[in-house]
Amino acid sequence: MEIDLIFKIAAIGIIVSILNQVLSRSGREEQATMTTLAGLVVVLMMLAQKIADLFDLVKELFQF
Amino acid sequence: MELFMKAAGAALIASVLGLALSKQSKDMQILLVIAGCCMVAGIAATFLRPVLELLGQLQAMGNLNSELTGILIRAAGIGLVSELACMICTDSGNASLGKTVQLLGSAAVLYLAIPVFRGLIELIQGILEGV
Repeated sequence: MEIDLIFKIAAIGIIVSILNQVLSRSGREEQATMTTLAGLVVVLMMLAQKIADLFDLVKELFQF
Repeated sequence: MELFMKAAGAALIASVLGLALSKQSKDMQILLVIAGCCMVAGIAATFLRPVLELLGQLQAMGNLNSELTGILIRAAGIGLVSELACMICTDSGNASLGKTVQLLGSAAVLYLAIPVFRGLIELIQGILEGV
């Protein structure tokens, strides 16, 4: 069981939201948007591998 | 059953963390939910593996056509994956996308069932020719 991934995503989400708040309060809206986007891409890359693993498991299990 | 309890606990933790994230970044919450769903579905697959092995043994004992039972098992797999994708899409606010994935799952199952229907039609034709 890989609950680490859940905590990793939550931690990245919290860090990104704090950075977003700090950057947008200091008037750097573009950088805040870019930070949010970068965080999303990082998490999406982590998740894409897990989704592929799940689909492979289902394929193997249900004889696709 | 310890694994089941752990999975349920992990799902609850993911849900609470998702709630904490929902106010700040909704998109990250959806990704968290997807990660949780992947993890729990993976655990469900480990529970399903012995069940499918038992089905294989039953098929061998009953001397059933492996092609037809394979279609049934694949249809179950398609149903599970499409339901999971549909629920995630609905949770993220894209209900229409979720319904379309369900439609895709139904179409895939119908496509898989073509050999079964062909077999049924041939059986009916055989019966009618015999009468």
